[in-house]
Amino acid sequence: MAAGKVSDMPIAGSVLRGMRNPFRSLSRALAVVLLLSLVIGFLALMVQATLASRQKITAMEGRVRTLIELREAGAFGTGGFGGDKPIGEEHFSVDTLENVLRIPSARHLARVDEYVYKPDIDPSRRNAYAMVIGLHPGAALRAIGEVDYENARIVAGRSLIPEDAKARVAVVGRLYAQQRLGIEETSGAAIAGRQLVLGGRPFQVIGVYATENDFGDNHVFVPIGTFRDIYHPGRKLSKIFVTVDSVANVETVVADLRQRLPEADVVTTPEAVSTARTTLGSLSVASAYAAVLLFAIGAVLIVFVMILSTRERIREIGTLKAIGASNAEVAVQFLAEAAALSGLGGLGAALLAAPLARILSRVLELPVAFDAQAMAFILTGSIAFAALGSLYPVIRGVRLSPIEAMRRIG
Amino acid sequence: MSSQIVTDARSALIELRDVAKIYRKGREEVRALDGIGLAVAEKGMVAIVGPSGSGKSSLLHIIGAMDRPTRGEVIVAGEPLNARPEAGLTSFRRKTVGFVFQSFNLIPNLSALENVMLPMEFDGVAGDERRRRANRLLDRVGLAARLGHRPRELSGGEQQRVAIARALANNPPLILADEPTGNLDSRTGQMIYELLKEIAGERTVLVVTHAEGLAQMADRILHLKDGKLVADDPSQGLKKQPVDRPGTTGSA
Repeated sequence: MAAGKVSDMPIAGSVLRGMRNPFRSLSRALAVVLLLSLVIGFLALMVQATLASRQKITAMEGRVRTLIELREAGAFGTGGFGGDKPIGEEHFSVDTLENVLRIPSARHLARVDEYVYKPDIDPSRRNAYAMVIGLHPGAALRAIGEVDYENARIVAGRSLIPEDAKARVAVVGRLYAQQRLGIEETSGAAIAGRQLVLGGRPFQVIGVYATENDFGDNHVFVPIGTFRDIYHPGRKLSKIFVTVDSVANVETVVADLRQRLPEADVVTTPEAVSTARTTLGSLSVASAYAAVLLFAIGAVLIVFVMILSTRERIREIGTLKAIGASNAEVAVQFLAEAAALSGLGGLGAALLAAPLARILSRVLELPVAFDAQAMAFILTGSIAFAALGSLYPVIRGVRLSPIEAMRRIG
Repeated sequence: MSSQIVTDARSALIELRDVAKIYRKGREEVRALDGIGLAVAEKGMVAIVGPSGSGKSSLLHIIGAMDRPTRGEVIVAGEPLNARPEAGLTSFRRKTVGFVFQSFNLIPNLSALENVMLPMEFDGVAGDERRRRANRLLDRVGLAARLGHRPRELSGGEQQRVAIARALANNPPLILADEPTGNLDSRTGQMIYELLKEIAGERTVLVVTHAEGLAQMADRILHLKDGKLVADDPSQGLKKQPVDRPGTTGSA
């Protein structure tokens, strides 16, 4: 054989022929590729959704299980408005915060955030009982009554940043924006130049957040420095959130806090995540089942297509062998055909799944990743899948003698 | 066992000794070939005739290493085929024989040129050389203007001519044609026979046919019945030679 061009090699020729074969019938190739695209595309989505929901559960659990809420003793159930024992600076204050930082296990504190609340009551409004919350810019927007305590997400504009520390700027909840400010459509354009008045002073609205919860969406977050300038709460604090560096140290930190802070209720929050965990867990299980089901359907489909394709072309295998093709050349040709078909299916799947992943991410609020890595995974997976699926019918076909193959009908 | 050997194998391209092919259909034993002895010389056209089920095609397939005999020896171009492994038979089919089938058996999504290039590709012939030879062969069978056409764009006669060009691709000493005119009208069939006859001037052509008239164009006619060679008939007025006379020359 003359050395040189790859196309001169019999195996390379078999590969090229195999890759051309799916296009013998364009309509049939389209139908098969479409079917494969749907199955592989949804399979990829389900796998990604399962992974994303599991990652989110893990992250959420880790976050919540290391989060400890400190509030004034006996203030539970008052929603921050005060109750039988109103929140008072003499009980729960900056002193409490300083004591937190002095507990024996303080080295395990990854983060400590203080919050101070001021009810903003306007009986003339439908959302009469709103809340103004002062916090350090950069701390999580922890709305009252949220499920996982970090659920507030910015839907327009931006959150507070360190540069806002002394500025009169505010991030408002979706409900507050609608009912107090008349902002129906939450967009950057809608809030541009909008102001609100707190404590008789104008504040620039820089962002809108949403929590999926009306109560949680009825707050105004402002920098704690500005809050103190406007409302003069003295040393008063409403809540302190402590994040422990690891789940293993939570128990020690809680014990220290309970011992050192008689003025505070120390609340760990794993129970708060249960609802979200259940929802995400159901999604994870459902998507895992769907992935298994789609995998099975995909496997059956590819094997079925390859069996049909090999059976109806068994005479062709006989002809190829009669004119001098080796078993390896015939097998390579049919495997290349399967790979081409499934490669196209994988490509179709990627085209189908990429936009659906974006929609799913938005609807489920899950980072259903669909990047180059996922696409490479789909393509290689589907090609390998097809190669495996077609191996049996192809091997059966090539093991026939040329004349046996040519005598076979379909 | 009937041993019907027509000898003079000294210059034979094909030599068969007591070849039998037995199939099983459930409990029934079908003797497709039964003790065939035969020698066929290099060059010339040999027709194999006989009623349906007489073993014509089985004989052709065994000579072409498309199938293995149940018993007996098959020697083609000096190579005993019985002992050859599958890979050896593949190499034999690639280099020593060219097949022409009744239903043409062209690869549907390849052009006429690509179909003819295919056996050369399996034989490792370089791309440029393949193309050059395929062009020449298609020109020889009168299809120089149809190189890029797919089989479905060609008439039956044209498809069979492509198949003949394909059979000649690796320049084999033996062409085996199984009912090559079975799917063609009589005029086209005549043309195909003339082409095969011309090819037989340079190599051996073995043709299985039902058409007595076309068989008469061959240099020699082998009559099969019930898997046995019942007559070996040099055509064109040559004297008919019964095969059961030992020592008769059977070379074409």
